[in-house]
Amino acid sequence: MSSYALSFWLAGVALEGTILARALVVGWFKKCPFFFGYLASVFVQDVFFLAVYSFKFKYYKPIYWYAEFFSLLMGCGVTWEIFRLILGRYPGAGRMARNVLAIVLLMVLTKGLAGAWNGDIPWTATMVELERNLRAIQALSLIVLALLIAYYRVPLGRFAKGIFAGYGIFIATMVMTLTLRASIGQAFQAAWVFVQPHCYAASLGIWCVALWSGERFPVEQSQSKIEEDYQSLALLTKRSLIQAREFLGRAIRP
Amino acid sequence: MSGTLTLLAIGFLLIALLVYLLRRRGSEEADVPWLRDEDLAIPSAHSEDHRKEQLDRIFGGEDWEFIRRSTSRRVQQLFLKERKGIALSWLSRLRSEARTGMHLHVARVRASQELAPLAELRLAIDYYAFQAKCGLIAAILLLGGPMALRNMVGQAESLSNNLRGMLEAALKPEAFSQRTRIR
Repeated sequence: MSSYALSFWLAGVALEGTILARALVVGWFKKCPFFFGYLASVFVQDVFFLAVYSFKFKYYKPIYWYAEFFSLLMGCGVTWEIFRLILGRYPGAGRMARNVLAIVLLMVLTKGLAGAWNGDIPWTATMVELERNLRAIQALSLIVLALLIAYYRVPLGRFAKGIFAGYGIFIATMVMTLTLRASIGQAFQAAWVFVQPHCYAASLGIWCVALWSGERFPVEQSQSKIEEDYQSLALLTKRSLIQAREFLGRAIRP
Repeated sequence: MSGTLTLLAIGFLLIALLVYLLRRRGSEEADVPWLRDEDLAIPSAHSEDHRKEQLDRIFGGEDWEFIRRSTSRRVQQLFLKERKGIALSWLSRLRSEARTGMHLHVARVRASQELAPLAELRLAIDYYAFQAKCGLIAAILLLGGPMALRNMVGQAESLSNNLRGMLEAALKPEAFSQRTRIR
């Protein structure tokens, strides 16, 4: 391992340690158990891997993949936690997210099963492809969340925005690098070894900056707003838009 | 190959969306920044008459007939150019009102436990279709000028009233529900 790679590795461990120390002091572990649990597990893995890499290198590869899938499972929890953190105060948008997500997952599953049935898509051909596919599902979930945040104008606090942005960038770059690694093969290995730690470091940087601010943790407070009768509201808005569209349609007819 | 491209596109799309969300203005504020009182102000009856007059003027044929009969070609061109600008500005305001109405809707339903996903989807399609038609009219205005849309006056007025009605109703929570409750 080059001195640059080693120092990068150590810098990552230091950043993770910093975030975890702050989380312990502020008490964020209780509020976001999956996210900080995930970060703690990655921290432990990094330290452990450093020792294995240095002293027992032959065990590094098999252990790496076990750890990677453990992180992947923890990552599913983080994805769920990001949904809860952002849409927790907005049950309407949350309901929409669940429905869209169910449709997206059903489509992905159907495509995967159809591919496996026809023998086109070897879902578990390699560890890289399996991880890539599972990360892609996480990415799709985060895309659904981002679209709903944009459509419903859900306000994001600095904390939620930081966790979402950091994890989202990590997942997006993982999907892309794993795709290229699976597609190009060994030729991409050198680039992968270089790119992946940098992408993860970028996520750590975003988390560090976002979680270091003095913002109070977004407490799930109940909004003191009157909840409207959804049906009336939706019907009224829909009727207005349909009529408006009809008027415009008539306007452009010769 | 298509699978590889799809996965790469998923990665790029997620990054693009995150960048958009990070750059979104006012996203850290607790409430909706685009629902300011002045944006939601409902025009009075007086301004309604004024508005009708404005529409008649923008899309009406009297001024154009007068200009066409009694002025030079250069003045006619100047008239059409200015009318086009005014008509586009009117259309832009109309779109803005529709946007505000839709924003008001999503701001209220996002916290509603009664939200119906299918109805929301239809509503979103209606809204974007409306915006697309507005875009089409803007294109006709740009290409043919306001005189190409002279028959629009009455319909535009109805549309304007309709949108105003929507905003009025949306601003009165009690009008939507017989059974309101505090969350």
